[in-house]
Amino acid sequence: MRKPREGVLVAALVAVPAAAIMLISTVMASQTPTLDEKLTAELGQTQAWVRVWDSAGNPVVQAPTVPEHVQSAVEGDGALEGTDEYTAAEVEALLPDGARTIDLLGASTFLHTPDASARATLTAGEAWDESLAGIYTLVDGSVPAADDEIMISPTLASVAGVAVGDAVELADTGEYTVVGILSPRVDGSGTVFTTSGAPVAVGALGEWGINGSMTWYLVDTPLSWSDVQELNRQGLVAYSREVVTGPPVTGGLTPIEQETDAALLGAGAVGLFAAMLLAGAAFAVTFRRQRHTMAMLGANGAHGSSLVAVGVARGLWLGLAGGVVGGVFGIALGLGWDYVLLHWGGAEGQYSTWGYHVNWSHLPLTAAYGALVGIVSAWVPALAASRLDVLGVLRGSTRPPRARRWTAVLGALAVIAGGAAMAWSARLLDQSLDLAGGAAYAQRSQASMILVAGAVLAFGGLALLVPVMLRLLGRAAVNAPLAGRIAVRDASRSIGRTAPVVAAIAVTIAISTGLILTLDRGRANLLDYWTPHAPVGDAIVELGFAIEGTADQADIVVAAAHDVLPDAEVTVFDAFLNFNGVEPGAVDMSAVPFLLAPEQNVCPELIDPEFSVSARERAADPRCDSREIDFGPWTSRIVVGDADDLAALAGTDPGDAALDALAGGGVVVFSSSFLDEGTVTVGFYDVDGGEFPDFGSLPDESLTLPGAFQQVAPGTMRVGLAMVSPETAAEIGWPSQPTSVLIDADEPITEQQQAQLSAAARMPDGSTPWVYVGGGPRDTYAAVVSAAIMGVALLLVFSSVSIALGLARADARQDDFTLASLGASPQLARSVAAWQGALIVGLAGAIGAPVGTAWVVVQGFSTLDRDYVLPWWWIVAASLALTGVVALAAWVFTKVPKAVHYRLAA
Amino acid sequence: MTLDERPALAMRGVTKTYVDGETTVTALADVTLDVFAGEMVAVMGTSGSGKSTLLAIAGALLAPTDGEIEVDGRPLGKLSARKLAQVRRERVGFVFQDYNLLPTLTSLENVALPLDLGGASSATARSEARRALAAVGLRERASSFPDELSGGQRQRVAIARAIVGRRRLLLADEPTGALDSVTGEAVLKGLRERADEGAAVVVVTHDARHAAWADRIVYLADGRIVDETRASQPESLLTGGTL
Repeated sequence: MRKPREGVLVAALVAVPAAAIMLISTVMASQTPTLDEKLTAELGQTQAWVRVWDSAGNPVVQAPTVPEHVQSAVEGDGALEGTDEYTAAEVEALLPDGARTIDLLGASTFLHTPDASARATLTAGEAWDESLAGIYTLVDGSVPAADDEIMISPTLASVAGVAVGDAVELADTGEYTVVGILSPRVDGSGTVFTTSGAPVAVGALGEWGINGSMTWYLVDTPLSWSDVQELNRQGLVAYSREVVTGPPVTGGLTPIEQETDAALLGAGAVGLFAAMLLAGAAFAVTFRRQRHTMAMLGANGAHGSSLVAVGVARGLWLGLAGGVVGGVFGIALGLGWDYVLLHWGGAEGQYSTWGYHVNWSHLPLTAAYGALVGIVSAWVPALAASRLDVLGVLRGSTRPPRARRWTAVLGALAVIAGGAAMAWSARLLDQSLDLAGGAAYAQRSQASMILVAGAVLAFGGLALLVPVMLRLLGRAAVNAPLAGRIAVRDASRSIGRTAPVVAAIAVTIAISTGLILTLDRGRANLLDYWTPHAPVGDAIVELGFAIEGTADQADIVVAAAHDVLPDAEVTVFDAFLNFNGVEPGAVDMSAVPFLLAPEQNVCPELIDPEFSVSARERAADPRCDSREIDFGPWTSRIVVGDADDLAALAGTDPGDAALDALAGGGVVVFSSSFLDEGTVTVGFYDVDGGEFPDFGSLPDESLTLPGAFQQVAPGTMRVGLAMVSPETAAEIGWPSQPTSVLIDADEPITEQQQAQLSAAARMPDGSTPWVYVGGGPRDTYAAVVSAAIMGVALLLVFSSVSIALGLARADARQDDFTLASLGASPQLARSVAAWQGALIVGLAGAIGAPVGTAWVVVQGFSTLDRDYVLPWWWIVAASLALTGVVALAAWVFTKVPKAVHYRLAA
Repeated sequence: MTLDERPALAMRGVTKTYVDGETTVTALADVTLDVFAGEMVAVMGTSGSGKSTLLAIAGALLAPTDGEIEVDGRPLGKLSARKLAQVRRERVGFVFQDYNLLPTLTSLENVALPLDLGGASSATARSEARRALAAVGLRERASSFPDELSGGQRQRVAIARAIVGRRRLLLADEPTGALDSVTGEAVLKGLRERADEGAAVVVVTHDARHAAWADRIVYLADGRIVDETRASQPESLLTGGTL
């Protein structure tokens, strides 16, 4: 190849997205098990497993290969007469005669050591049986030989700090010895393995039952599809090796196909577009540098079409080479990715990998992708090169391509049409808020499609206008500094090189701006509506899991908090006794108080689910504010406390009306829906008699008290939805007791401190309170994803700019010499590169950022929650900063011509 | 013709060798040459005789392997790259065979380049550039880009760029190589006029008719000056012939 460097550049430009495609393909394939892997993970070496789906024995229909995909077969009574739900013996009677089975029970438990308590999954039964190898792997130690011997998973061993040989407690069922470490494939928060006769397993079986928590593995007995269907008729489902390896042609449910990820396809399309633009720019430079050769060929009779064919053939081969090399590189990257996940990524959820799987059928597709990029990106510049002025070129007159008027007109029309479409989309979205149900959905779908079309049209129009913009800038640069003038004029003369790069960067900026702003709006909305269970990094301990002695429990928790976190501030909240936790007969529940919202204050959709209103009508109705709906129309969560407690619950200084209500025997409500002309209603229900609040009826007994609404500061936790003084609580006549302990630590509470708190707060009866540590709204997702988007965008921008500048520098070699001969400082090349970088990114930002922002603005019309203010200054500052950083990087990384090399005349 | 006592260009025992692998090529060998203000010197020689190397060294574009060079009495041997650039900017004007105009700048901007690079104000640079363009008869093409000019016009712009400001040494490397004979003669006439106005002009050419415009002709062969004549002596050169 005569121009190996440009060839390598083009191939590399194609190879990068090709590598990304094969990497994604490999990662996705590696997250999907092969049939053998799936069988081993589900069955180990056994033939099938069976579970209860409908504990009443009602028939079901399952998908042959996906037993989790199930539907009820027939409405009606269950198959089991005289029993409420299956017993283990009844299920086993339905299995093939003489089949050897391994029964595993799944439940949850607490593991305690003197220093820590940890919640864990319980698996009871012989999980260590050799026939289950593959589902579980023996890591260390031996298998339990007695009911007081257990195995634990590596995760639990780490969290609880337990090793083989240690003694631990499980729930309140006694002491056990850890004899081995057994690793399940997926091990969330940790697993305990016991014998099926262990006390904790027996207790769990009673608590959990067998519905969905028991699995029978058929060790040697295959299950045919008809066997599975027979089990289905009994309300059971099965995963059978025989059925999965040879699925039936008919019968059963069809598994739901996994939908193709639209975002992935979108990313691929953008990658394709950007790669074509950048490779096109490289080809444009290549052809321009070869114009003399092409003119010579033209002068010697070569037809334009021949020149195009040569150019396109070159594009084809370079693209194909880039596609293959990139694809292979992506496969290799996938191996690295898998290695990282297997060794450091853990084995949970979305980060799990089944092993290194390569979808080889995607490699030829990737090569075809490369060839397509090569052909298309070479075709346009090749066509332009084939139309060159042969005589002019041979004479040395190389006029720059003019910005064609029709292109400019077309671009302007596209911008106008795109803008109009986006405006129309905004109007349709806004109008959809006046529609209800399916009509609103249909209109929003239509508006979304118009929005996409409008954005693409506007962007395409702006891209077509780039040559005109460059030309105008070139004219306007008369008084610019010399380096700036050279940079701008060079860009305006080198449209084939500059415009595609500007477009590639602009589309990157547009998409990243749109995505980041969308995430930012989501984060802002999340913060607006976020109601934490506990403040971020602090812990809340809910009491009342036993009716008696919550005051003692509060003391234990407070002492535990002071012990584990000496500097923490600890607050105990009292509230009405939660009737749900009361053991039958322990308290007279014939008059349980509920705070009732008047029916006229309740969102109609809560009362009548069929009631359908438009979004605008719902928004205009304060009763349907989602924050109000979350509270529900009645509550028994009433806190008992003083003004300080009120301030803590309100997250701000309470208002006078609330303080007056609290002091004056009234009720302070944190939701205005409970207030009715300055009063609130407390209804008393006979819970023992099965009486609960309902719409349309008031209880026989009720109490009307003065009420006041207290606004709760956003982001404040909700221990209760209303508050009364101890005196008012006494008047209502329902017992109150400590229900929540807030532990406000100086530093965020760690997982280990959480385990220590749980251990220290164990109650005399062996029970363990649930210590919840506030994690805050999941806006970290937005931050992480935004950072990732920004990183990818920066990578693309810098890559594109470096390509553009590299091509520009290659073009400027002759000019470098001329300038040197005129006494220019070698640093001038750096200044020109800095200006070029700033120009390209600045122009791309001026196109991309408004399009991306406009997208988000239009999308905002789909909701009435329009409080979100676009961070204009952030957008402008980021655009300027990006331009500045690129200019600086261009200045730093541009090679200074080391010496003047006089090109000797022939 | 008035000649300064001090030469505008003085080359003393200048040698230039290139090393290409194990081969050493001597492009110039012990060349000594003085060119005075108001004098036009033509350098002739066969291809590869060292003409362009001589010009590049004279213009501080190339460092000699040995020997000394002075431009306007200023020795170049110990100057830094920055100072050498300053010499090129302020004292030396180049005219190239293929013009070497920046295609991104207008004629006026190309001519003003040396002054722009020297830090002159924009107004001064443009005013001087207009004057230089007028001197070569291209005032009306000031806002044209190089690709909008004919070959002769481009070379005249290059000459205007070489004479703009107060530079006294004008170096032209085959300035008529890409031009037709009429235009070529016009360009040489222009260079002659610059010399008559007091500049020292060195023209590399292989056309004897063009060399006839010079006051002195220096012949190079294998990097050495093998002959030197006053242009008026060999009448045959004025009537034609090519080396």
